[in-house]
Amino acid sequence: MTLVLTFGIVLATMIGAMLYGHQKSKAKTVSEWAVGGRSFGTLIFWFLNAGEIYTTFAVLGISGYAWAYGAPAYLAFTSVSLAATLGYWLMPRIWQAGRQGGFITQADFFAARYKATWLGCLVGLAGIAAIVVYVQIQITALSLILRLTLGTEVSVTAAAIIAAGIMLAFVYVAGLRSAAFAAGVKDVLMIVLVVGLSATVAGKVGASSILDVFARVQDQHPGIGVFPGLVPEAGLTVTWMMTAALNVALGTWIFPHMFQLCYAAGSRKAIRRNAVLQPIYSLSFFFIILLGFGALLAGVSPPGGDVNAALLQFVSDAYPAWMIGLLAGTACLLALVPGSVLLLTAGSIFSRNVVMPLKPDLSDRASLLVSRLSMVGFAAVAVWLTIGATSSLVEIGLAAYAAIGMLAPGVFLAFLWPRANAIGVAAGIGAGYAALLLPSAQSLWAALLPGWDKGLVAMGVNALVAVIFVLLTTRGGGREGAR
Amino acid sequence: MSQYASFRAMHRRYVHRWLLVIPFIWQIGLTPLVNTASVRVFSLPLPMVWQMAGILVATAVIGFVFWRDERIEKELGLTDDRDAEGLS
Repeated sequence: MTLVLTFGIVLATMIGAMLYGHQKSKAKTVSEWAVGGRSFGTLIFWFLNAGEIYTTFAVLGISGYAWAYGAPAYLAFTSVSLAATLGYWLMPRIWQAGRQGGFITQADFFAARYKATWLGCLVGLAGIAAIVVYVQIQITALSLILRLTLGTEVSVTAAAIIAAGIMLAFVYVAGLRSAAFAAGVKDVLMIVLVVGLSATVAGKVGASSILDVFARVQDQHPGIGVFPGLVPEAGLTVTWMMTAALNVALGTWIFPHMFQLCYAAGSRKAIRRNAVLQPIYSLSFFFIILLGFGALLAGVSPPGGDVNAALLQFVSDAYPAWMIGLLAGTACLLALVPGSVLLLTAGSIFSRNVVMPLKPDLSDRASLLVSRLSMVGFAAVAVWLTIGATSSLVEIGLAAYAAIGMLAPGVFLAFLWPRANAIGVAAGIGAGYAALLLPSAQSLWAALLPGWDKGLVAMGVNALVAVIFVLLTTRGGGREGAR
Repeated sequence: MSQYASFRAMHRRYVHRWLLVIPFIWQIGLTPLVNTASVRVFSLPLPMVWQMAGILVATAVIGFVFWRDERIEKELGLTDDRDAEGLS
């Protein structure tokens, strides 16, 4: 029952998406395939955007965080509204630059704005690295669901490989338009599920109402509703919340797939209206946190104490088999939609910004092939990262934001400071990676700025070094790099 | 009008954009002040209610800025295809 429903949902959506994608556009060029022909209306754009934000990170990760830590799950409430607030200002700029320059990838933007193909190449690789970490979230979740539905006799490795295979199959067929269709299906299913689960959760855990779930969980677990939450040793303090929220807001549009999504918008108005509408959708994180708290009251114990499995375990303990099938199928789509868009983006960056500069005579058809083949490699790296790791989806997510934060100063300086140049941006990226990855730097930040999100600290170092290098390498009052 | 004066005029028109700072003050800046377990709003922890209210605040602020922008750009006779923010 569970198995049939799970795969029924995924297969039906895939077939629908393929038909939709084929009918809408017969993708012949990279441009058609990757940015959907630059003609998305508000509605499709909104669904596609929502699909990017309502991921496994949100649903499985945040419910698990609420179950394990409590208050730190509120991070979800800031993730969409602050990104949209910043995006209202930033996205039209990206959109306009993309239209004027005919860009397809984020690295195109860097290469053109900073007049340096080598910077485009560097930025392309940095973007791909962050995407691979983000794909790891989706693969972790998909393999979790596969093991839940197929049984734990399927090894973690096998489940991760199958998950990557499904994701690649999803993306090969039609490109961005099929993701838009699947995002629509997924959003409808998600609403049905959240309403169904939330309406019944109180009865399942012996509470009289939804609000009573919150009253009981706070009575039984004092401190759960405020920072630092249930596990103070985890260091999820108010400071963590503030810095992580800021880093997520600053990083959201810098992800290459989000950047590229701005290019795909049909008009400035569509982008702006989307920024107004998007935050409201994120109020539904209330229900995700409710379910996490419900799982805690029900005393669920997921296999191996896996934080990511708390919601799935709760539903499989307390609900009939069709419900877990519905949840598992929807959760598969939650992972597949962004996963496929992410791989698509990584593939087009690789062919355009890493291979093309080395082999400029590549035909459109050949570059499409390179882009499709490279995705197999990126999926493989993500599988490899998944296998050794046991982190919470939220932690992997914050690691991805830390990785993409390396490109944020370059984007903001591009729009704010005509003097900014390639040398400065590259120096900033180098310093940022050092601040993020060197163990000695890590212990320095732990002592100087306890509780701070690592990504934000590294982004600050990056920005500071970038500004210093720009000041050193350009003359004051000069207009180098001005547009 | 000199280039500088038109630049100034353009910036005055868009001064309402600074309202976009409010959601950041609400959802990040004021977080430490509301981090108390002693207050519950309809049984919900105060910091949680605060963040949810922050989503409504953000929507209202972005919505207002959008409405102002649209009006200004209509007055100026700018369409979607024309640059309204002085972006290159």
